[in-house]
Amino acid sequence: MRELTVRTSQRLDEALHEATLDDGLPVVVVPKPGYLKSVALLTTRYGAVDQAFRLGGELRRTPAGIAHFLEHKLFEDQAGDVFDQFARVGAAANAYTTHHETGYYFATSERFPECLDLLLDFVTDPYFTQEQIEKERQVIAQEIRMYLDDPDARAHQNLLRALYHRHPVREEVPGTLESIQAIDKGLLELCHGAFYRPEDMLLVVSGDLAPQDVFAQLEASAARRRERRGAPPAAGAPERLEVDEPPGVVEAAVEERHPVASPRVLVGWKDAPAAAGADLLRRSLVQGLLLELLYGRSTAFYEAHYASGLIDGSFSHGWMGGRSGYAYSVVGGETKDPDAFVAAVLDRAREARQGGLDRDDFARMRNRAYGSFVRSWNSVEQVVSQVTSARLNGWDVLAYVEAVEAVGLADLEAGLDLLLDPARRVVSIVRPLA
Amino acid sequence: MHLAPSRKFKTAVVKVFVRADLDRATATEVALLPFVLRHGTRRLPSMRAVNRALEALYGARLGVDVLKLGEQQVLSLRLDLLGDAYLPPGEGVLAPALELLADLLLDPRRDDQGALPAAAVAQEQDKLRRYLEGLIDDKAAWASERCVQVMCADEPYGLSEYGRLDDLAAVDGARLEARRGALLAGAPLDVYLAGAFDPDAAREVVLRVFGARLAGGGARADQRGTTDHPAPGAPRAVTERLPVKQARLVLGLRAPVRLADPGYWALLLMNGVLGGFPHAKLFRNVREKAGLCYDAASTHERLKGLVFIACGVEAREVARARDLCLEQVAAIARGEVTDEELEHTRLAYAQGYRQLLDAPAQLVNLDYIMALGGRSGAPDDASRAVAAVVKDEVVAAAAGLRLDTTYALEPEEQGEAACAS
Repeated sequence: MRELTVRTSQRLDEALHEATLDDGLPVVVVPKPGYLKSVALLTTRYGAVDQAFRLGGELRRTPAGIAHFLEHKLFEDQAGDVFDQFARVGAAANAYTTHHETGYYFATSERFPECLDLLLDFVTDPYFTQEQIEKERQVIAQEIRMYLDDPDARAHQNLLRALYHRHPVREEVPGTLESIQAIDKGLLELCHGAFYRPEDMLLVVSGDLAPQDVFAQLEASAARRRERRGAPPAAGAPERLEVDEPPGVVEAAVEERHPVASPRVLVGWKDAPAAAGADLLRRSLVQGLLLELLYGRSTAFYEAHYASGLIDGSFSHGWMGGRSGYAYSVVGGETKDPDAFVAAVLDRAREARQGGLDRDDFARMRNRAYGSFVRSWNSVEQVVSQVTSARLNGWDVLAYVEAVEAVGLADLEAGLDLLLDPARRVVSIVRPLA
Repeated sequence: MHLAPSRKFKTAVVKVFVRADLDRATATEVALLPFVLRHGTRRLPSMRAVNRALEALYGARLGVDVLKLGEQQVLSLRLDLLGDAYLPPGEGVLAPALELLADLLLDPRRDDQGALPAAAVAQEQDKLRRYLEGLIDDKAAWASERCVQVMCADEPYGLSEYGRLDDLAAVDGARLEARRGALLAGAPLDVYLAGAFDPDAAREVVLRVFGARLAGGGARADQRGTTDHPAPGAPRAVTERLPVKQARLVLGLRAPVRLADPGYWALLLMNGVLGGFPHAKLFRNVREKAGLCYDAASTHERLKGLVFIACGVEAREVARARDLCLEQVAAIARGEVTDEELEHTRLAYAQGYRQLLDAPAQLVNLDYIMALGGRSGAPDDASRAVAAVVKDEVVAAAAGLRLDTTYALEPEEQGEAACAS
């Protein structure tokens, strides 16, 4: 084991125990004395955007949805269904795929070491049969169809397709009914070999655990896994391709009709790419606080338009940014009048430029951000997800409070430029059937 | 008043519940009330003033909602606060937050005639109307709601906790204020606190702000509660069509067992074996083995005694999926439950209960619901009860299920739906 460090936050009364195993897997343990539940989240930096890459010098283009397909398929190993193996100890396991990562986790209040071994084993030892791949293709097809009937998912997908010319964030995470047809055993094995290397992965655990016990167990099991697996693939690390994405949008407005009662609208703005690390955190805080200040629940905007019925409880906003170089702000929800909604949102941004932002509002927003960060350390699930997200995106979770304090009103004023630039704006609407 | 302080949390959750019979005549008013109350108190006379006060209390979060527990409608207010110990020295949010919560319920903003403000009522009427109209937008939830409506058309359970579209327009501020008064009369108000707070200080504040209105759990003599199942009839099958890409199938079954009955824990375990977990029969056999569905699961309504099986499936496979789902119930009723299945399910429930000790808000919910059946909400008691169930009881629970309604939401044409894009 290399580089064991312990970092603490007095303010949060929390400690992070960090180390890297001999095989290269970074591990973070966050002890939570008194908690009955322990959770472990094993992630790899492989998501829906990693479709094209170079491996051993060779250019590979893989079908949309393959990272998600692989996530489904790893739940089967030689000993049978992985869910059953977790069920044997009463633990709950699941997994998810995003644009940038695939994560596998379990939660248990008993026999944590057994579960931890199981997690590492099933994720690192793939077992694919053509028959099971065919069955999974049908299951995933139903998952895709379910999203096709989800109007909010449609509005968001259409927004991304209108914002991005080439960046693969424009593709659905599970792929399409067509793209998943091309996925086979060989491709799954290729991608697993390329993207599930210990040094590209991260394990974060939290619960009433002694860090030295966790590290000792992991070292022992890593040695076993190495023996079983033999030498790592000769091809080495995959090389991600730079995406040549222009700053402008594809089209300014997209619409779809759906069997819904209520129209939905999303206004999105394509932001400049953010670099992984402190920049990503800072940008997300600035844009997040700005949106809250303009459109949050305590604003005059929210009050007026909630009262007029233009927005309702589904109204939300956010800034999404990923280390592969996409970033966008989005404001949206259900509305009775999509056009009036868009006009109101844009008016508010223009008015903020003319009238300036309010210092007291800003102070309240920062209190709120602090409160919600402290709150997130309450649940072991949120601890592992927060620590994982910070680490994968290259910023320090313990520096969050300072990063919030470092944001000034002038940063928000500058951030407003994005919301005032029509060339970077897309409106995505889902309307009821005519 | 129910207090559960714990040092391991950084936040405290406060919940207030007020319960009424779910009834056609009052459901819509009760549904609207909590959302109108959010529009301000005498001291903070607008929704924005309330939201600003919450933000200043280090981002305290207020949630209001209405729940359906069996055939009762429960108004619920919830506050999440940072523990006073995690605030800058000298600052505290518990007392002002409890005062605000009590004011929302007991001293809301009213107009000169003493009615709840007309503008707030009109806004929330509009929101609720759109919510009810928009239920159809979530196809899985819509199919489940329609199955309940068809199955329980002549029972209170067939009503939504969000009331009826047809009754909405007639509600006004005076009627709503009268409804608030009627709800609070007799004051069966339950206040729960769990997490990071000082119990002595909390007790003092709760008594001061809620005082004599507090009552503890239990049923009220003048409430009807949940009614019995009607006499069994022939199973119903209803198919409705919309331009969707995927069919949704919901099977509604009735069980002769409710929360207060001795067979309750066996029915709970039966549902777990059937479709409560990824190791359950529905997930294993309908999703993994047959590859028919992405989601296939069952849910158990404990106060009325209902079990629902739901899945999303290719339109041409609806009949096959229905047969295969029902076959899983039949298999349990024939005794085809392995020791492993039973043990895994028992473990999953036991762990679930234990883990609630890490989730104060959920612990509060469990305690409140279990009290409606006269049962303890302590996770250890629930785990012990689950451990005591034997296989024959699970088999009997499945054998006692009766299929009532088969509901299918299907695309307008077989094959590719005509959905514009």
